[in-house]
Amino acid sequence: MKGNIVKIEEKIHKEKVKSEHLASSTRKKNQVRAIQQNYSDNDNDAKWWRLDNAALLFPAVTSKKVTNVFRLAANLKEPVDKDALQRASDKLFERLPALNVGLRNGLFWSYFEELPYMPQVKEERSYPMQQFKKNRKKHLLRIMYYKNKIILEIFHSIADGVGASKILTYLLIAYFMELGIKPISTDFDLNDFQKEEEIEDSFSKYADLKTFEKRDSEKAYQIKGSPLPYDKLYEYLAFTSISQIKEVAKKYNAGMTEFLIANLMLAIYSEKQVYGDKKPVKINLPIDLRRRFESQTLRNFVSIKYLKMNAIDFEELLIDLKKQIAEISTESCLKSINTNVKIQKVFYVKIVPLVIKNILMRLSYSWFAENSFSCPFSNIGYINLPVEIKDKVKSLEFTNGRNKTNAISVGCIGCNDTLTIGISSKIKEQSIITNFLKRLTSFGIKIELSTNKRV
Amino acid sequence: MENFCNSCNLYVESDRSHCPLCGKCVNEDNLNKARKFNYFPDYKWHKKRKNVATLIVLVSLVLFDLIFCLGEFLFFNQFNIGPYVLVGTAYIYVACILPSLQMWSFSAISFSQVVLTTLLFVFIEFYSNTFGWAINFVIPSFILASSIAIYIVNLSRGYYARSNFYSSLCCVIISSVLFALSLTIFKGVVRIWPTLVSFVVSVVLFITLFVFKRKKIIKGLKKDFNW
Repeated sequence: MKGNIVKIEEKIHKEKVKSEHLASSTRKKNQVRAIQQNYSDNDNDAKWWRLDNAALLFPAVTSKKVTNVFRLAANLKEPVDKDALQRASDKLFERLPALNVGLRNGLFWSYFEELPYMPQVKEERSYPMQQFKKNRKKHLLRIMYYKNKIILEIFHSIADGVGASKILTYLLIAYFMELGIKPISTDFDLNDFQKEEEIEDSFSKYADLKTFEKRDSEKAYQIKGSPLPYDKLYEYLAFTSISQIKEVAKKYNAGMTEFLIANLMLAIYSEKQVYGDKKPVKINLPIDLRRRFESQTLRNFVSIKYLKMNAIDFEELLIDLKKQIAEISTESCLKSINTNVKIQKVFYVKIVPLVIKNILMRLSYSWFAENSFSCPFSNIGYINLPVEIKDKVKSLEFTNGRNKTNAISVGCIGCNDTLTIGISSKIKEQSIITNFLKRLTSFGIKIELSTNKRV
Repeated sequence: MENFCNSCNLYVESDRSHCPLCGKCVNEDNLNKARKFNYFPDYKWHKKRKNVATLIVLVSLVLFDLIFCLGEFLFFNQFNIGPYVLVGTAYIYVACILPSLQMWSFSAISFSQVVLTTLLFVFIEFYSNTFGWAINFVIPSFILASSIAIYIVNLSRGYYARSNFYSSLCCVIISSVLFALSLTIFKGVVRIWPTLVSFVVSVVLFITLFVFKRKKIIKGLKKDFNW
């Protein structure tokens, strides 16, 4: 009897909360509309934040060809409750107002300005990673859901992959708190204020401007194929077991990243041979600097390294990659930070108007950065979710957005012994992807494939 | 995920009938089932939105035509401007609205616009008996502008688009026909120099395009005509 009464009480309480939220959400929507209409250009009270060193580049080079958007998603075991997700997102952005921002253009630099309304949770209905149009009234991130999936799409100026994975973890914590599950085993508290360490520009903080790096401007082989329209992007998600991949990689005395990169390089190389291109295969590997410099920032803090394919034999290639990755030291990362921050700090660069800066940045990006790698490979690493919500999440997903020259981007993320390899492709041909996945399955690794592509 | 593709060694989503990578059949039961995709994005929604937009535009243009023509006929008892409006709205729909809704390539748009603008001006000239100005200046300048634009687009892109080649070929054909007509039938009636300029420029650009992209063009032609 008691149990039934408790259940009925819970039901009544849930319905009450739902009806309250429905009323409040309509009120909120009306408020948002009213605020958007009355949002004046000269709102001096609005908080603003500087863009970090890496973030300065992205607004300048963003177009429908280069969206600079990436996507993280969490596959839950139960369907997503939209209202709970909206409440969770509202609470999260109240806690982290530096993410609830729009991008504005100043005279010399772009900057973030706090928006007086929260992002609206929507059901996903379009191709992934659409461009964020330059609009100071719009958010630079999207929170969406689709059946069991919570999706976070984010503009690269706001955060990098690891930063975004932290934001997604916080969102999951807030979401499950709304559902009545309170994670204890986490430092994150929704009732805290935003900490300075969370939004700091770690590039400027750790740059000592003493030693500098020479840029690797050697052109790399570019994957060829028939391009899709700009608003379309194929997303292939390969779900595998972390322990299985680690076991196989261990046989070759290598780590998981080296193993995956070696297979990817060989898949690209087999395609390159068909075209008879002489340029080398190079992989762009972002290095997370948070651990190296003990930073806690959610903003960008990565250093880009290029890994070159120097051998055709799989085992030799693994040895060479291990050597190349071992050469990436904290000092070499600091050198690359210094090189980037130095340009930002030059007086003559500072006084150039933003319009001219944007043109120069676009040119230098297309000359030096775009053609210098064949494919980006971002490894977010293993995400440790709080124990209380770990069982509620099946897997996490990570995919990179559209790039101008690189037809294929690869990213991976691990959670609950599931490694998700997210491959985004802007071309119709899929021989490299097939080759890459076939290579992995040839080692006895079980792969489950999910894609938004129609056969 | 129960479906297994033997050729790729992968497990595929259970509601799929074919492997998304190699295209081989992985589940025959799903072939006969109504296709229900449980993954994103919702294609139907996109298609529906596009169709609704096209329909709304078409219906509003037809309504506008009807109102205008009926109004002219009933109130002024004449039908002079009506044909222009009908042809003009048809031109706007085919050359401007339809390409933007269907997201045609740049070359396909310019190709359709060159052809349709030529037809439009020929219609206006012959219908209104104001013969000369369009053939003299408007059509040659259209050909000139579009052939230059196609040339720039063609060379700036890394890949070969068949429509680019065919649209520049179309420019050459129209300009040469126009040039030939101005030398023979319209001799003395129209000015020759604009048609001559458009003819020379379109031919030169076509030849240079062919020189730079000959391999891709020949490959594309082989594909198109099954040589």
